[in-house]
Amino acid sequence: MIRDVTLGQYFPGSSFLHRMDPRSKILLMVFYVVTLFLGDTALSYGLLLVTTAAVILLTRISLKFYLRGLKPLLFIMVFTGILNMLYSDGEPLFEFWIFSVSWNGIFSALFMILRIVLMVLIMSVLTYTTSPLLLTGGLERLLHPLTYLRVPVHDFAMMMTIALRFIPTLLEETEKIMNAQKARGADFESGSLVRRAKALIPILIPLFVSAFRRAEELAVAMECRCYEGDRKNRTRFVEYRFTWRDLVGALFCAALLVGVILLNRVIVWNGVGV
Amino acid sequence: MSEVILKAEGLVEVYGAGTPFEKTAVNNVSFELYENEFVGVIGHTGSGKSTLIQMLNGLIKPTEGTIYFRGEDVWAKKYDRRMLRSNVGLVFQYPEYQLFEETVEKDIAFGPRNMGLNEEEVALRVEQAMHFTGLSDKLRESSPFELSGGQKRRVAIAGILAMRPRVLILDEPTAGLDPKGCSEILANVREYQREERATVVLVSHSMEDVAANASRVLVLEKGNLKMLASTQEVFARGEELMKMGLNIPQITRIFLQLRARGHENLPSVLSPEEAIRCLDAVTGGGRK
Repeated sequence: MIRDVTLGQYFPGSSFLHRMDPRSKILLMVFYVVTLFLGDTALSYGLLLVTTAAVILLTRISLKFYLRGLKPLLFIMVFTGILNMLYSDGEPLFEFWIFSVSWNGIFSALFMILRIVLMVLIMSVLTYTTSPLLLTGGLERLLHPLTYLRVPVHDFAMMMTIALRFIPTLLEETEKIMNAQKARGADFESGSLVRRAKALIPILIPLFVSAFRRAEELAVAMECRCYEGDRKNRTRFVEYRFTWRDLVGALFCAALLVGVILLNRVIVWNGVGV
Repeated sequence: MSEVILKAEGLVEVYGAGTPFEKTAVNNVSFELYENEFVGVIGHTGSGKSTLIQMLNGLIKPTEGTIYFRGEDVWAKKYDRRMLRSNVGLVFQYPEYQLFEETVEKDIAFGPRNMGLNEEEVALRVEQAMHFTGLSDKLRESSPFELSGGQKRRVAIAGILAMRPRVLILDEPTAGLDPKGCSEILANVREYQREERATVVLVSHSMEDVAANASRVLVLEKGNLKMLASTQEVFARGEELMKMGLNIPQITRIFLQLRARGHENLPSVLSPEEAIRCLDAVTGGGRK
């Protein structure tokens, strides 16, 4: 069903990661991804695999949801994997047509796929453990220095919050309208491409109308509560504070970086022919 | 008794089977609807009413159980479910949000056109549907988006009536309308039922509306069919209904309380008019 789409999904909880400050979570995720791309030996990837698994376990969210997040990326992973395998130098293991496959290529393909998987997993950790509100709030505060360059950071953050908030609402609305038109005999499943595109009109028009109506209502509701965008004297209901958890997280990430760099140098086994 | 038009047998609907969010929306519900009857469906929010009515016109496939329209299984392999949907017309809650055409006329014609009728027949049905819903002919060419809320609702209902369904299901057709608009729409629905000899299923939270229109009432609680009997019988069991968090018509409740205080000769009534008649009978008409 249409409702199964998981965009910006958040799983409420009270794990260590749930309670970290959103600002440090965002920064550390970026740091983690950079570390991921620094690794280039089997050992350093082994370490990254173990730490990522540990982080995922720490969120106390079922592994099922992480795997579901990986599914849509399967095609990209296979695609980049094959490309990496075919376009790597090294002693050819076997050749066919214009391609040659080497151990080197196979390893670099595996590493590339692992990189993508780990990156998506760690990003999922961020969105799964941070509510959209905290996420955009944290982002807004991190980007705050840009306001001195006259970038309307607050407005962008507010737009993002609202967009995230309305994704499920609009999905639900789409389903309702589709059912209502089906009840009037609309047919979305058969006919030529043109006919099917035309069949979308009875869904899209009511959907746009209701989206505009919602936007207008929301604007009025916000104005009723004296919302005026970003103002200097505007205070926050929730003040973010760094705690010991954030320190632990930062130390963990720093140690990981050091570990990856060290393991990159220890060439115990880095494939055959290197 | 007239013939059975729609039959539900052991309907079960489970959402999200196999996940932690699994929920049984409808649990083993069986009943029969007859031609030309008016059935009210009542139940608390989340009792499975919406799921049940969407199963009746083939929008939701039941996890278990069978639905028969005129004796035919609607989920049989070659069954034409689009045709079923024109035979079992479903007016959703707040149906005005499904309007999309440039003119009222075109919007009402959407259903009949999807049925593949010729233009003459479509025009005839649009005219009739507008008549049934009390829409003046002048509105034909107006944009449905310019109309008032009540008029939009009528256009949306007309869009279903134009398919001339044998069974008309309405989910809260009067929600958010003023009292005058409510009674007018219900009168329109009754007129349709009488003239077309159609079956009407009315889902409503207003017990007064159900009591005033329905001949039978179906009560749902947490997906289970709790009662299905004549309106009189169902509302006579007012206390049970109230335990389910449902209301009963005010006048019915007053009479129930009078009976509880010793006036056991009073019957169960459904409308103020009926109540006055009863009281007249009891007091010998000696009213001042």
